[in-house]
Amino acid sequence: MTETTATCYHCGNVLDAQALHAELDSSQRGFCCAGCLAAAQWLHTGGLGDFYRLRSQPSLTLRGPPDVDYRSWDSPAFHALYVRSGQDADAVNATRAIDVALDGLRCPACAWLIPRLGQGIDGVLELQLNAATGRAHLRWDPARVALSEVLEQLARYGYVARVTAQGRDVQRAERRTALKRIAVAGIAAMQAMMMSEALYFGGSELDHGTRDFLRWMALLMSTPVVLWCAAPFFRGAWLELRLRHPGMDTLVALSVGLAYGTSVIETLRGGPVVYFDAAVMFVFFLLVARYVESSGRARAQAAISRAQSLPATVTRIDAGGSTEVALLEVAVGDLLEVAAGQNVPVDGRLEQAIAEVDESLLTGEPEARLRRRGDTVYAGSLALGSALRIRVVAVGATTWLAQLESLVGRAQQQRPALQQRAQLWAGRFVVVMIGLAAAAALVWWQIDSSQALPVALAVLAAACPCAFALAIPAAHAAAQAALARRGVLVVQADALERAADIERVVFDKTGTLTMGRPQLHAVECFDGQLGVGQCRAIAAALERGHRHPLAQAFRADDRGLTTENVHSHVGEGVSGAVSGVHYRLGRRSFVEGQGNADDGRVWLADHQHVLAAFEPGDATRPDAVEAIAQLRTSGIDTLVLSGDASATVARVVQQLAIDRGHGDLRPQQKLALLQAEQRSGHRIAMVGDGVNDAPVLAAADLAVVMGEGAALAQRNADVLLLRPSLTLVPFLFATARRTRQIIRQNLGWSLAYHLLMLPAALSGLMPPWLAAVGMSLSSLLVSLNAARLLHNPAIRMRVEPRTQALTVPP
Amino acid sequence: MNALFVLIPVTVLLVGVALWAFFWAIDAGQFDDLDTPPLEILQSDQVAVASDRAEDSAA
Repeated sequence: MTETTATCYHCGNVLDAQALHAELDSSQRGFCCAGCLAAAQWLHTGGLGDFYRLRSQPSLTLRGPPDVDYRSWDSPAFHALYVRSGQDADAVNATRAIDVALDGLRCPACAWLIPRLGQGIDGVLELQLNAATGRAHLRWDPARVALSEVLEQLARYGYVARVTAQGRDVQRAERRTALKRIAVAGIAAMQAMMMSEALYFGGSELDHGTRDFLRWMALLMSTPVVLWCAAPFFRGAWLELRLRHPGMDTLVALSVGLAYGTSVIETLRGGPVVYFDAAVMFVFFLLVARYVESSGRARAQAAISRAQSLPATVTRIDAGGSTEVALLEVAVGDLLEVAAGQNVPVDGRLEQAIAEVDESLLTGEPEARLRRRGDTVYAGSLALGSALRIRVVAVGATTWLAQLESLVGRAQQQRPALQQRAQLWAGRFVVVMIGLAAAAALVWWQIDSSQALPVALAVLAAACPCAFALAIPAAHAAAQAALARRGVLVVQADALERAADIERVVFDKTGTLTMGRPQLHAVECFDGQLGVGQCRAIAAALERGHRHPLAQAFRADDRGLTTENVHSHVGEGVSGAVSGVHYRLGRRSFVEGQGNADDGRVWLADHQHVLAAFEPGDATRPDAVEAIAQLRTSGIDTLVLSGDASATVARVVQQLAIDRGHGDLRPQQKLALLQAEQRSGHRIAMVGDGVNDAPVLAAADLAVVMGEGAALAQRNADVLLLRPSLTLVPFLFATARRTRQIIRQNLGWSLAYHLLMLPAALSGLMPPWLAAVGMSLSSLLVSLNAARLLHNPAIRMRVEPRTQALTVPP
Repeated sequence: MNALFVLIPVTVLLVGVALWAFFWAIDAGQFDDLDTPPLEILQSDQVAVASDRAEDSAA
């Protein structure tokens, strides 16, 4: 057994194949990211200067040369699209600024490290990171440093920059306005409440002068709240009315409008009672609920846009040589060159003899695929080993990637629309309440005209559906906040409701239950002198810096042996000298030089003997067993639908005690199996990461996507898991069920409240002020009940044992 | 009760000042990022971390 559950020495995250290793306190430690490594070293040495010294030491194995080539980012075409001129009056030269999204942020230590890195690069004037959105703002002096150099420095630490759609944080203004609205509503609500309490409890003892003064002051306080803070609700209500589809906004606008409107009239004519407090408190509660909800969504959106990965500019080969052009300018028939390590931007035919590509963005399987002259290379795949020359056959919407996306869009439309039922309900409630209030006023007008207005007001206050309208959004906001704190992002608004109904969870084996990156399962060593450890170190040295997925399996074994003349043989393996001895590493036929069949293992040989055979495989995630067990205790079945070999699937199913598993499935077959399950009446959640699952994800009742999954899959996610931790899946369902329970309690309470208050108000037994107090208390009760979701006693944090550093057998 | 006629307008004035200050803080970007600043305590260079707290290594 060569694998143990290794955790980051600094932050405790589970380590994956991209982990870093360094000598610290005279023993080997593993770190999840450069931020943790730097922080730990800084803590050890007690000063930042030491960190910068350590950076150049060979013992600090950073992620090797950056995998991404940023040279195209210096081209004028790119600058025209994404770079702004920095606002810096006192600088001698014109500065430039860009907003980029950074990949590879794993924990708070990264947010600490990144601005420090900026200070260490000459020419960087400003490097700020917003840890919430993963966006960095970079301002630099183009005369002193090129953009590509700065980004390469960051990439060396594992932080890969990507351009974002607008290149600018567009949501910021929206967030600021929302906060201002909350501030105004909150402060005004407190003031209006104080004055209203005086009015309610002062009763008849107040002389009319004081009473009217208090009312006018309350009017002054609540007017900006209703006219400005509640404006989004009125706009929403107007939209709903125009679409003839009354919903929550109609309810809110109506009750706020009625409470405020009648209060203004009462103030003007000196009537018996006013309800300014009810109007503003309602607005305040709802604004807070919506802010929490939307900031959770904004985080999710940021995580998604970070995954956007086609390059902005490409290299076009003309008669005169090569030029850098924007992707938009490329036409069918052009000849392009794609550098090694870059994503292919278009569908094209290969114009060279042989090449290797990684199509994991499309297939979800990180595996090198061999392509020959005339084969099609798809947009989104990654050039491995050598540069590609391709003749463009499809661009933009006609590429296979784009077509796959539209397939996903179609599947999405077939999704059962639970949301519509809730909206229909809300609409009916509104209509019924308005009708009831109008009828009461009419009836009492007939009986006793002097009683008509107080009764109508009491009915309106009692009927005001505050608690009812708050019941669902307050619980959702609390649940989303609780989930987001653990790294679960609810992307679709109604995903929580659907999650509560899930009875069966479907996993995609690759990358979901497993680490998704090859690791060494077994090593067979044929040379007694070298030993397993040395063989691994030699292999690791040869594979150093290669982007081949299999190369990652060796990364943890790199002992820093010196290499020379390392050559990559496409589709075969690598050869080169390590510490002066020449070795070959790769397929059996390549290494032995004979016609032995490929057995899936990686072989190592020097010029005479075969030294070792490595068996790469995919290890299951460390927390998979616990996650499956937790799902079972909450009564949820588990199922694996995988494109992998049936034998592999059977092994994983047995290891993790999963209920059932099917292997050797193509996407269409997965979809068919899923739909068959749905037809038999089960509600199914799909947990996946690859794009070959995208149609299946979209058709499932709930799509849960691991945050490291392929870009396309994330765009269809209902729920995103930002940490690669499977125990978040049972946590999600537990929270969803609790949320539904609390929503039912809230709805039940507000219904009971209305049933109790309405008859009393209709019969004229209840004075309007009592109805108003009851309404506020009812809203408060509903909000407090929802807040219980924030503290979830059922979930305990699992503490990862810190003592298990990565152990390498000798 | 006459005190009310003075005190409540004063309250309204204070509310106005509080809101102005809060608006200023929002526009100055104080509330744009609530996640990163807590980490900035890590940045003070003079902190001498006691080396006797040296990590409880692989025990």
